[in-house]
Amino acid sequence: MNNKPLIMLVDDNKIDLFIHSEVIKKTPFNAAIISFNFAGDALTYLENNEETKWPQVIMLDIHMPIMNGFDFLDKYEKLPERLRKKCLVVMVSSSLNTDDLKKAKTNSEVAAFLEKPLNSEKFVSLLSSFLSDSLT
Amino acid sequence: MTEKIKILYVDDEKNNLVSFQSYYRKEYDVRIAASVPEALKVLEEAEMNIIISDQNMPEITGVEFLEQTIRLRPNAVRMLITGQSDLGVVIEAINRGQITKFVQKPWEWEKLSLAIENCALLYRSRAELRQKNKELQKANDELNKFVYSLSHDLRSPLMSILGIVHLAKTNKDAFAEKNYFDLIESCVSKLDSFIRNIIEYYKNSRGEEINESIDFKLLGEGVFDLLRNQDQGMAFYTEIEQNTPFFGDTLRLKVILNNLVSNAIKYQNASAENRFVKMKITVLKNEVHISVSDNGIGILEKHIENIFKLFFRTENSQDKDGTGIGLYIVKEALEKIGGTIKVTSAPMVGSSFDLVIPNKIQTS
Repeated sequence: MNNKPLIMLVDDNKIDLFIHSEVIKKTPFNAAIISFNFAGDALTYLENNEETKWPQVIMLDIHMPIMNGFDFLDKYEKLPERLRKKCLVVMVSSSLNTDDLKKAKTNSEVAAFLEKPLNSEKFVSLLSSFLSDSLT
Repeated sequence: MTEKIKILYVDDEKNNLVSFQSYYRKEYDVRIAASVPEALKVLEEAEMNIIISDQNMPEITGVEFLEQTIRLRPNAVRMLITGQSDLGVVIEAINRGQITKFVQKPWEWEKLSLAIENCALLYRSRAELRQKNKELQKANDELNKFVYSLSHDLRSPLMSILGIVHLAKTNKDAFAEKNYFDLIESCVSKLDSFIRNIIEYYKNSRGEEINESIDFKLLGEGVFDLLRNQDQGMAFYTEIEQNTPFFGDTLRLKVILNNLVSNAIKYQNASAENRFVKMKITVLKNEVHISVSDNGIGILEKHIENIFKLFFRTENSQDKDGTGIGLYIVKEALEKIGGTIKVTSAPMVGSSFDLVIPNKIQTS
């Protein structure tokens, strides 16, 4: 069995996708990364893949076109629970809108909220317990 | 003309009612009621601006009645007429009945008229205040939305830059460094174009209208030259006909054309053959007709009425980095110079923005 954790990045901003994947590469989790530019594509991936290919963590942006982070979550919560319970959703945004923050914090699917820019320290301190099995 | 003030007068003495109504019917919209139930019925059916009541009535006192009307018509101004000169009644009237004026019976017309005029004035200024408050509330809501959208759009490229800087600090690889600079550069241009948009909007909303002679060939070609290199594969057609002098606001026209043409480029249909944007300008003695058309992705019927709203973005426009400001600026600029705009569009066929702008030649 592959014990490399899989991390899914969802962000409309390609530069932020790049930054996040670079940041995560620097962490000791030895994670594999899949990036999605559109939330809809990320959802399709989740719908069409079974447990072995599901990510352990989803880093989800809030402000995205067509389907924003909250729209994504509305659809996400309809996916099978047995898959969702092994997956952590972390919202990542540069938003200073307190309504966004409130909405993220009260959503039962959201494990945490991280402010952009993402850095390795933030990522490690949040996920070390969750991903510790895969620490090498 | 302002609407007549609506007065309801309640009194169990019919003679008072009749003489009151005939005296004031020209100046005010007067309704009368001979009993409290009758008066309440009137109030339930219609908005009344001033409610006048006699104090001594068989059912309940005037003060009690006026107190009841507060819940029903909170915005009305209340007035009590009484034969008693009991101070207790006056105090009760002011405290319980929110009564503004107090007139003694039998009344002198002059005093009564003055009291009613005061009430009318009070009603009108309160109404104005309520209206102003409503407008302020709306402006405030819009400002809130504006500030949040603005702060997000300004902050997100900055946070990207900060993220790249953090990466660069820990990564000394020369090849990566070049990549970081490119990324920072693209964030900076994005931020800059957003700020330019905002400034354009601000200038437009503040600036006075300017009147100068305009050469549309120069103006139209100038706009195209500025935007042409955004897409080398797109054809730019102009059809400009000017045989008569035109006076108008060059800056605003430039802003309008810039926005329309850059939208045509932004919302092009990548799969269409012969992608084009066409600017057709016909200058007439009294006005200029400008049409900017394209064979782009078009606009869905349901969105057309909303596209000029601030921060409105369709699914497509978000995808294409639209800021939701461009067409709002176009609309605001057009309003300043007295122009009109009409949009015709069909999805995946194209859009056409047709403008008519008055020639200010006579006034200059």
